[in-house]
Amino acid sequence: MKTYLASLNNAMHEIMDSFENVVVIGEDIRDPYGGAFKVTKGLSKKYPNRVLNTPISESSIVGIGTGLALQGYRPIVEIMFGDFITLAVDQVLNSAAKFGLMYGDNVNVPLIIRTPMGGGRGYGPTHSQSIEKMFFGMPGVKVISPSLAHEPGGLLKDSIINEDQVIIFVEYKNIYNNKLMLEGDGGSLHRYEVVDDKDNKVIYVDNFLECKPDIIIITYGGLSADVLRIMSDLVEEEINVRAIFPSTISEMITPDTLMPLVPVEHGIIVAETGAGNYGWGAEVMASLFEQGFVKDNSKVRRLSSQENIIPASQAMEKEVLLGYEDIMSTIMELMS
Amino acid sequence: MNIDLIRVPYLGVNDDSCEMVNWYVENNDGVEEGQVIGTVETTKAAIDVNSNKDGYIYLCVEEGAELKENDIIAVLSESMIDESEIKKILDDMEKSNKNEEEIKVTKKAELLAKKNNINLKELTAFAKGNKVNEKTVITFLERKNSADFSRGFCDVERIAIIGGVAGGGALIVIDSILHCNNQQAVVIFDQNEAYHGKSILGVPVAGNIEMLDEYLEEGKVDSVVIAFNKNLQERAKVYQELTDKGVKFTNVIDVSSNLRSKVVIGKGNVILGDVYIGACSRIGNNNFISSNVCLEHGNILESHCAFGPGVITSGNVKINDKVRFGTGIFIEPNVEIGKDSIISSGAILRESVEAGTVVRVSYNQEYSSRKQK
Repeated sequence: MKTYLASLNNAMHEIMDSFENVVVIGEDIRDPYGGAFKVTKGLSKKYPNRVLNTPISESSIVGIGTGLALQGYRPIVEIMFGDFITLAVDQVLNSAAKFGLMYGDNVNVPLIIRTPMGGGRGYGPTHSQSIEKMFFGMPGVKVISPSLAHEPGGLLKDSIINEDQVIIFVEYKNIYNNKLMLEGDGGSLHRYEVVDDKDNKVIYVDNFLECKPDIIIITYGGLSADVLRIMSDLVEEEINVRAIFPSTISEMITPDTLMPLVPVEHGIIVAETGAGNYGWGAEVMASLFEQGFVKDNSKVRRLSSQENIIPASQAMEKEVLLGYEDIMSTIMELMS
Repeated sequence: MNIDLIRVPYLGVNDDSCEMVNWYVENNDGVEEGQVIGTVETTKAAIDVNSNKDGYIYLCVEEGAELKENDIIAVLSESMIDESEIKKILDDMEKSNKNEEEIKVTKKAELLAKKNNINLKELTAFAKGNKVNEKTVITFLERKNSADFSRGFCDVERIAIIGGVAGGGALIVIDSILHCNNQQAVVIFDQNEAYHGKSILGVPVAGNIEMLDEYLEEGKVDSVVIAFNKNLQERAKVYQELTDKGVKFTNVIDVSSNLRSKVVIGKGNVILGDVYIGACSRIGNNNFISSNVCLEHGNILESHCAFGPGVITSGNVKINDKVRFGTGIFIEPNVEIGKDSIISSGAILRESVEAGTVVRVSYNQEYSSRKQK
């Protein structure tokens, strides 16, 4: 059965096989190490000239990627930990994302920046953050983050085929070794794809058939593992949960997509792994209110991790990061 | 038989799953405490599995199996056992674990039971050992409600009477309630301490109005109505104060009264025996209408008014706030009576009356004693 990691690794192999102009750049990504999380494993053996190890130099990695993209390559660069992407923000904001518009659309920068975010592994304050919100609202940048209900490799391939702009591809390190839901790990859960939400692949999952949800959870990325586990655990408890996972997190799910998924009477939870202030959840919540999806203010909750640094001790890390227990107790609170 | 289970050890922070890569022992092999019997491999490391004491080993998974942390991979027995028994031992263990884990009441059923004040023990007994789910609770509620109802376990509105003991207002209000099949007078509050501790038609005079809060807090009273009807300023004030506090006022409407088509009635009104209220009349709040009053069609009666018995209005009369009527009064059509007026007994109103008017009747009536022959 395919894991999140295997799906990404397979896709990398397929992409390099299909597109000769794809080059992969990053730290320690060549074999035998194959990248810190093994997403690039096996690539340098097959394509030794198209997989480039670099020194610790995130700004250069993205800068070189930008230059190659301008020259007709399709670079996929890896930032080993999402936390380090701060060093490359200038390259993204002031170069890669702007060239297309600055030069009258005569050029484009089809650059994919892959990076793992999130904690849960005891890696400490500078290797566990979810800071993708830095790129929200940045014109010319699209942020994609697959959940366990998506096929991450498929989303990566789609990005190569369909996109000609800067993509921040946010992988969640806590779920690299989890099995994907579409591979049958769902058990009593039912997975549905929304066919047409522009370039956003919205997946929703129900833990029930033929009745209405009691609770709707909108979330993305690594929290999908906790949410799917909660949903499995609640089947026996007769609590109907619908989870909605967008793939593109820098744009809102359209009202047309949400309309049939969000019936009138229910509780809504919007959950994100990052610290909540001024974040994704706030934006989703605002759009839910604007679009009239919230009928009862007392039935909505926005959940996020604490506004704190993330401790290295796993026990303390659990306290800071949003997870199974917090979401479960919020569901129970909304139900009673 | 002394049996120990060997499980997948802690895999570190990186992984939750691993592969069984090597077994170094076979079934029926004797092993020693601490002996390495196999190896599992995660994405980052190979981890040895040790025997935790001396005994004979029986393997539960094959090389290449995908495993999660804490999965059972082997059984360690003090004495040699038949390999066929291993499966039975594991099955039994799983069964007993399952029994412990089996959910007897679903969370949704539990929440629904809590909302409806149902004891979980009652529910499990009702389910006769089956799982209690949402449907069980709904069925239980339906049965319970219908059974309770057929035995008369159902609620009637419990009313507190405010004042009116001295003037008899409390008596006639309680009398009307006694004839009503879904209301019950449960307590009287009156400021005159001389009456405290007595009962009117079985309803106790508990004390001052200040005691009402206690009755409401303890859930002994559902609603109130005011029974005194002389001081209408006070009647209006009490109504306003209690309404502001969120106290519910109810209407007491005698069964013999006759409310015709489309009559609209507010709250806190007392409408006593044989009162007739004509079609399309509108009644405000907190009025006290004595027996045999007739308010014809299209009347508008505002709030806090009191009527003696036998007041008769013709059609389309308008009566503003806090008007007090004596007994035996006739009022012509389209007359409007201004607020805070007093209309004496026996009056016949042919024209409208301004606010604050007192209508007196000069009697030309003599009383003389009859001479007996």
